Amino acid sequence: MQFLKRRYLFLLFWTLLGQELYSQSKEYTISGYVRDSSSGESLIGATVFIKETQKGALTNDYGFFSLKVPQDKFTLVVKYLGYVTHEQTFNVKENVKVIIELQQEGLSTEEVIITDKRADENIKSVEMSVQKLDIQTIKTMPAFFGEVDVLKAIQMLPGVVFAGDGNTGFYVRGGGADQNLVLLDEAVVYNAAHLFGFFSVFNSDAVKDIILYKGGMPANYGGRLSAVLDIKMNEGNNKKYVLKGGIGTIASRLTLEGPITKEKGSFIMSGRRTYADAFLKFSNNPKINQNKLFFYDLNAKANYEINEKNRVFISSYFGKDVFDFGNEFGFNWGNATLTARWNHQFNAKLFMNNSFIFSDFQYQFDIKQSSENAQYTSGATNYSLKTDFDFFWNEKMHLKFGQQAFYHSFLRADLKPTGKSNITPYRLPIRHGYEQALYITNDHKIHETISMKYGLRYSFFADIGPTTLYTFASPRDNRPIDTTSVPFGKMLKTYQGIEPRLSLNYNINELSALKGSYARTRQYLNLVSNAASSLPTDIWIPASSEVKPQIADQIAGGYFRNFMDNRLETSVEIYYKWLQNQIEFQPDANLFLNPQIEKQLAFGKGWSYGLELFLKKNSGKFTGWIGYTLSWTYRQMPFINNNEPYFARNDRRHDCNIVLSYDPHNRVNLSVTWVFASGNAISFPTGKYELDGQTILRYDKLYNDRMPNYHRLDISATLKNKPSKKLESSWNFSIFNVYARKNAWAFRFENDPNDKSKTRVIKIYLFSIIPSITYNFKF
Amino acid sequence: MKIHDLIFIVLSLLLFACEQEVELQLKSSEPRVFIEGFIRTDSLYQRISVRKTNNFQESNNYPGINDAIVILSDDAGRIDTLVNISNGIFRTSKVFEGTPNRNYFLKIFAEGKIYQAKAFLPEVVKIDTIIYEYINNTNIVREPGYYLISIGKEPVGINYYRVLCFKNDSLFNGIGDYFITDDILVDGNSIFFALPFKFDRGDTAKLELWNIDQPTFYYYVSLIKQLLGGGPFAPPADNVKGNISNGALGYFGGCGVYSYSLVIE
Repeated sequence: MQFLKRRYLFLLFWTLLGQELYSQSKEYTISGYVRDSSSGESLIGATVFIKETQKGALTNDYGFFSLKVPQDKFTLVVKYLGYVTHEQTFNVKENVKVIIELQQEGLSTEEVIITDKRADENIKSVEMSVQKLDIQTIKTMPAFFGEVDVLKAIQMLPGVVFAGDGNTGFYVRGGGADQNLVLLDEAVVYNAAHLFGFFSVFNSDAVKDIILYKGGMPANYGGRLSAVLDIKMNEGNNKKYVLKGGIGTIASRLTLEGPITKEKGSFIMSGRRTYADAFLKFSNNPKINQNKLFFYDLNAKANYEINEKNRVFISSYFGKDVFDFGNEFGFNWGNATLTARWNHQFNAKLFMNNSFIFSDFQYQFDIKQSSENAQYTSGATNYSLKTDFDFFWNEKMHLKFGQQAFYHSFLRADLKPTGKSNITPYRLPIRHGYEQALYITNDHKIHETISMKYGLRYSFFADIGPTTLYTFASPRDNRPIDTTSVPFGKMLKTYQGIEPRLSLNYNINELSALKGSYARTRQYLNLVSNAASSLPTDIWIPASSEVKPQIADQIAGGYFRNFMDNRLETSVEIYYKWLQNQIEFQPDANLFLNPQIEKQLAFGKGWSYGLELFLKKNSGKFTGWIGYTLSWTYRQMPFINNNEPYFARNDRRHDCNIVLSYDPHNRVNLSVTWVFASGNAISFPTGKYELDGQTILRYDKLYNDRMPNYHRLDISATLKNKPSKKLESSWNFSIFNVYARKNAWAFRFENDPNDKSKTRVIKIYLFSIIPSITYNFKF
Repeated sequence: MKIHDLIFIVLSLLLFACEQEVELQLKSSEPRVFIEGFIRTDSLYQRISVRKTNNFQESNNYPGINDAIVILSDDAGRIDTLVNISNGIFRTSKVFEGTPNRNYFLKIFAEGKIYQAKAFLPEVVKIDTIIYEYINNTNIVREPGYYLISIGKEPVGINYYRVLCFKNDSLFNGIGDYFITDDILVDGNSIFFALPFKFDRGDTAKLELWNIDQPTFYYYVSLIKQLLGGGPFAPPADNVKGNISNGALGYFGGCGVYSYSLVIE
């Protein structure tokens, strides 16, 4: 018995060790980078696999991969969306390092079979509720005012609810707009909107890769509840100088990229500016033509390969919106981000990235009136340090682990008199937060047909000094009766928690898979909005003794099936999400210069469930997708409807998007998009009365009614001019809202100016038909 | 509040927002009692209205409950049963001037129910100086014309104010004409109001400075929110806060009123 036990242990040990020894004696590792052949850009998420075994891996965020090769001779296949598949035969006697360069499909002169990303990725990949959008696809989609917009394209996906006509805000699976983690090269973008949401801050010329996670977020992401939108900037062409740009109806873009040292390093600089106010100049009315209204943004990125094992990146974004009303009132806001990264490859299996990230958002009002000159500033800043490891353990396991530390500061209000002024300076104390996360996640192919991705994230948040704490006599008396100074580093309140993440894939056969996922997410920063749509003036409120962190749990399941030799992808996903500690302002909250804003919040819960259908055709002359979402989203809050559950304002029963693209000729693309959305929940009055001589609306229940259905058809045509050696150029013609539907943006209930004894309802709609034209060029 | 207005104006200009009167099928509701009254220091008789709500499609003439019994009292022991003077409007039967620093109590018997409310009447705060200046610059915020500026010494402690402006005895009463403030920025010093109401030469301008208590201030916050609300850039629609018991809508408050008039020359 004793012997048996020992022998058993020995066997177990031998099996573990032996496998390792065996693999070391017989197997080699092939590792390296996958890049674009013309620009040298790293390709993220490219599929790399061994033809003989059909086993493989995806490249990481830096285009790096590592694979065990089972025999001396094998064929490596590398595939990526929009690129010609690369096949190369190797005969190895030791570990090898390679750089694979893929050719873009359009650039190829020979007739080759064009393949996309590994065609069955949606069946084989363990991830669900993930959408990857190709920037080339986005560029051919009809664009509002001709401005190609990443966030508008995201809104065309199932499970994503758009915030309103022309609005870049989006809600994912019943979550709030502030529950989306929007990352640009790892830096958190606090406010992704220009011009109150009509355009997003992402310049399509500077964007390389877009991934949206609606559920089952991997453990390396955290800090927001509902979704992750991970946007990566172009690295710049490391082979030749390229100048490209576009001239559009309301904005123009210019990008310069090129090598720092050929094939060793590159840079890219990209700028965009709108001239929305140019139209105001045509007005004869001095009230209108004196105003300024524009936005601009700048993206810059550089990378340098120090040697085979070390590479550094620096990327930055700066953008601003400027409004000036005559000489009396100015309003501007903007984001700035900076990311510095160092990639280090320890060996063929272990890859490390270190990042330092700075992100800032600020808005400012300038009041310029005879004796009331003042400037009001508010904003949020964070510094963070990240360390991420990629460990390509073996062909079955790919581990990622690391840490993220953030130091946040929030300037809620700073009012300063400027020049001659009767205004007294007033400043609310700056609040700070320290956030620390540790994570580990493993992509594990358990069996030929079963794969899992499991991970844990631990997060910690401290409301931390330095700050000044005020004591008040009552929640509504905003005069402090006592102040306490809190020194640097003193923790006023801490929160921590574990966030398990799990995704499962069961491959029923080569063409179909069942997937499931669970994710818990915690959010320590809340963006509290007093408006139905997100505004730059929304207030960031960190967790504190008065505000608990938001927590969400989401389970999702899906069936994925491909048809027509993987050219047609279909999926059905269902989800259920629970949201805790959701925040709303109390109905009479006073936001301006309120030092006790936390006391005017209401806390409640929410839940959402739904079904998403997706059908996508990836290759051929006809491509595109149809997405349909059926969902229910509830909130329950004290102060609202006597604490009874109600439909959240982003609750929308039906949502349908159709995106079709047709290439009749290799220089012509025609695209059509159609959106249908049933009305969001909204409060409409159920009666009226009179106070202070005004007609007052009576709401027996909030969110008791529905906005009318929304639908819209957009079309576009992209015509490429015949490329010469020097110049490639194209024209894009878009028509937004082709059948000029007057979709309701809002309703106003008011006294009839012609008959004061009556009231009337006014529908406000923003856009009728809008044609636009953009010229794009590339030298 | 004005910021939302401005945002809206600009968006309308830029993005060709259009408006259209429409028929919207709104849900209806059972009529409810609504009550309104402000005890004023500058009025010898006090008025209270007791009426019932209408559905949105109905007219703005609200049915008064003329047979209601309306009783007003204060914490100095005065009491009066008000008399009905017109549709739903009741007036004290005798002189019942508002005295600062007193609580007022309202009790109403209407259609078999009792409604009660309480109000506090703050002191009168005086404005030392009112001047006007001609502003010539033209922009979106103001048209050229004469504008009032008032400056007054403000008592120490938390105060809340509402300013009303009259041109030739008619109140600026548009939904954007509300002007309320607390004194957090100026406590105990002089309080300054630059009023955005345009006057012409020869007009008589009158200002009323109401000193109101905190609940009344927040009543106005919610009222203004509703008047300016509704669109995506405004606070979500909600009811105006009331302080009447037993499910009646409306507000009963008090205001210490200082008024001042001058002629623009």
